[in-house]
Amino acid sequence: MPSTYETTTDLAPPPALTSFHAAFTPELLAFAMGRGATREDAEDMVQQVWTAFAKTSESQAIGAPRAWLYLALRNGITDGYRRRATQPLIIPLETNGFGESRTEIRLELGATAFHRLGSSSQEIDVAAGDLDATEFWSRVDAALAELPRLQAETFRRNVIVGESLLVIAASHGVPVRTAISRKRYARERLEGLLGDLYEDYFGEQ
Amino acid sequence: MQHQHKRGRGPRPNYRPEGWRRPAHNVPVNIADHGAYFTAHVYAVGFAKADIKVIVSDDTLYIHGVRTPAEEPPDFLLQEFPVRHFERSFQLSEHADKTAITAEVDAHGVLVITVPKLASAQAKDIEVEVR
Repeated sequence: MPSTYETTTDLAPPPALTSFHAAFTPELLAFAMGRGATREDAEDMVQQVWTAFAKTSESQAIGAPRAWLYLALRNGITDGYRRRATQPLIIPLETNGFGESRTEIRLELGATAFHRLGSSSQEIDVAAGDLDATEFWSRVDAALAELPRLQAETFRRNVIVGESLLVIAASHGVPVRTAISRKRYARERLEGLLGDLYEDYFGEQ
Repeated sequence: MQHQHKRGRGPRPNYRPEGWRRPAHNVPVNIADHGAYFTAHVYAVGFAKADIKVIVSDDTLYIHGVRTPAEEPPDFLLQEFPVRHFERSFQLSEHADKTAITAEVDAHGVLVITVPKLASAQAKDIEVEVR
């Protein structure tokens, strides 16, 4: 587990936010960790706050960015406490009841259809001629490139390559819970980023 | 991102499974509440006990199994259970006693995970003595 804030690249912001990000990220992490979050949880929460900040700033000017960031982070921490206090004793972390999300299924289908898995047993008969593997994967790769590095890597290795989260967590030197969390954040972002791709290739969003 | 949209370019291949599930990698799980504890029955049939890992990582229960088939799996026309590996993960509430979780494989090859509830989470009546 990293002992210092070495995951700066994992929290890489859009270029326009670079100065804000560099100035405020360390103190936001300290704020979250001071309220009981682990480092990994704090990094995830701060990442979510930056994502929300970037999205909001596209549509409106944020006059007091530091206050906005702290308020969003504090609300996120409070929501987490409330959610943990009221949640059922055990809930599946996958987004449907029997396995994985549409994003994961569709990307695996894409991997299978375009033979990215490299195993003949995984291949299926794709009769249509309008499927373009190069375009499909360039769009998937572009979407993954918009995610924090470790989130993207965790998602890619688990869903597309097929490695277990246990193996991925070990290679990153983090608890398996962190790998699960990174995959979940990646999945949530990809649902939006890949909406057009799903419509083009799978006929629905 | 700039994309060249392909809508309306004719029929798409029919390779979408019914029900949005990925049985090649996942196994079904039944969860039951028994009052003082709950159980998760993981239908991991075909996976040896030694090849199954159950890990409690903070508030997350992670279950993973692997196996090496004796022969290379065929090109399935239909596949509804995994033959190589599976993994499932669950979030445990703060009322679960994470230090007392047990797991065993029953006679039918079903993995049974038992998670006790903390005393504070057990709904029960407490009679107060009248003196």
